[in-house]
Amino acid sequence: MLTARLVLERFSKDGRLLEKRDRPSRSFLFQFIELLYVAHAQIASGAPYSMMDITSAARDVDSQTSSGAHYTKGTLRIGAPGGGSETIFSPGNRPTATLDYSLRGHPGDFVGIQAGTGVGVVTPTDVAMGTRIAHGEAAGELEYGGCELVRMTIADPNGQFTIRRYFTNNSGGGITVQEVGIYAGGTKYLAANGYAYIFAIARDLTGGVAVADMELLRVTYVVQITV
Amino acid sequence: MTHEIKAKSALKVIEPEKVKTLLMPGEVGATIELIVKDKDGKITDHRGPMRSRSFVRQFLELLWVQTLQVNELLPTVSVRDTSNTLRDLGESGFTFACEGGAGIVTKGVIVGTGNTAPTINDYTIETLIAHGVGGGQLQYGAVAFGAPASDATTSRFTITRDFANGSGGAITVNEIALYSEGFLYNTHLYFMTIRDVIGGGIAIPNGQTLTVNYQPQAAI
Repeated sequence: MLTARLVLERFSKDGRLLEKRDRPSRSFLFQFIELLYVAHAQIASGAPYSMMDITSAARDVDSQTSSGAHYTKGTLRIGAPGGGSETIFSPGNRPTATLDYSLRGHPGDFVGIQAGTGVGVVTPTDVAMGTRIAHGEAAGELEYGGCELVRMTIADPNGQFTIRRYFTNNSGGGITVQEVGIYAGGTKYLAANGYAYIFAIARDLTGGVAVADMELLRVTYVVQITV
Repeated sequence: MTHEIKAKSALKVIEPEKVKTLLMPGEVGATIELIVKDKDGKITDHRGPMRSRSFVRQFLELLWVQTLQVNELLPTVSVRDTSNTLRDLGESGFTFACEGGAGIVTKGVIVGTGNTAPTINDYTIETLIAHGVGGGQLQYGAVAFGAPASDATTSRFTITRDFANGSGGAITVNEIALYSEGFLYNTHLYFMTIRDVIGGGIAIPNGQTLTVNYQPQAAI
């Protein structure tokens, strides 16, 4: 069985831990199962699978890749650079080892762990954060760091890895984070190019973590399996 | 006037595999359903759905490769394949692929006769039942998939495979596994991501067919 622990830690601007909450994540969403289905079933581009992206638009996704030695595909991508730095997705048509062919990008802050202010009850068919907090330094915004995947460890009967992201409040005022979640990529192959879309795969309510101006919030999902 | 209460209290232990809600909130796992049918399609044995207990380490490692988007030119993870060889892997369109065709025993739902309890480090089915019509063999059908669906609490999809017994004798399946693909530069590789042991096994008489339904699920 796979589960996840959700750890929320708030730090002062000089790095002191001010608050820590550690509890089970409850909320892998329908889109996570859908992306696993697309990967397991090897959905072809001619008969793609339609699923709802974070804009509530129905998007075709597949497992198709072009012929050749390289079959890269951005499906399930969570790792991302910080802020607006572009995250590259391969839609499946990268015939050489070079990153020069029909790649699609999204701002890094839209990939990986997310923060929001929505308080609506989580349902399996949520397609986005309730109210996503934007990346930036304006009022009500948080600076999104990179979304890292680290610490893969296996020790029978358990295995785990960590997904984490830092959020810095340079907005000039306090922000209360009510929800966190994970956004992942899904892609659609076309012969000459392709598409990449973003899907919500997890969403959890925090109970409210008040992040004062100049403070940092570290959000960590520890993904675990136990036999 | 007196009233007699006729209802009798009773306490029954419900076997875990009979409980409808099989996953707890927050869990991502799978259920297994086993159905044996005779040549006329009549069900002769039916188990489950019951909790699949055992994602093994390769599931987590393939998830890591794909969510991190491990670069194929600088792979940072080695995963043990079903031949007991550590393999470097990169992200690809083949990660988790398990659409094994008829007769294919390297990909998809696999069955065996081993009954040793699973551990997280298991990398292969203990004792594979080969494809065929010889003694102790089963005919592997093509893997089929049921599209994702969701209710108020649970999201799921289905992976199905039929195993027909034309061996001339009964065969007992004790273990079931899922073999999935990984990929690195022009090389398809195969990894076990789930292994379950069926308590007491499930017997398939000669001439009958076992259908295995694996249903990966996420519960809120």
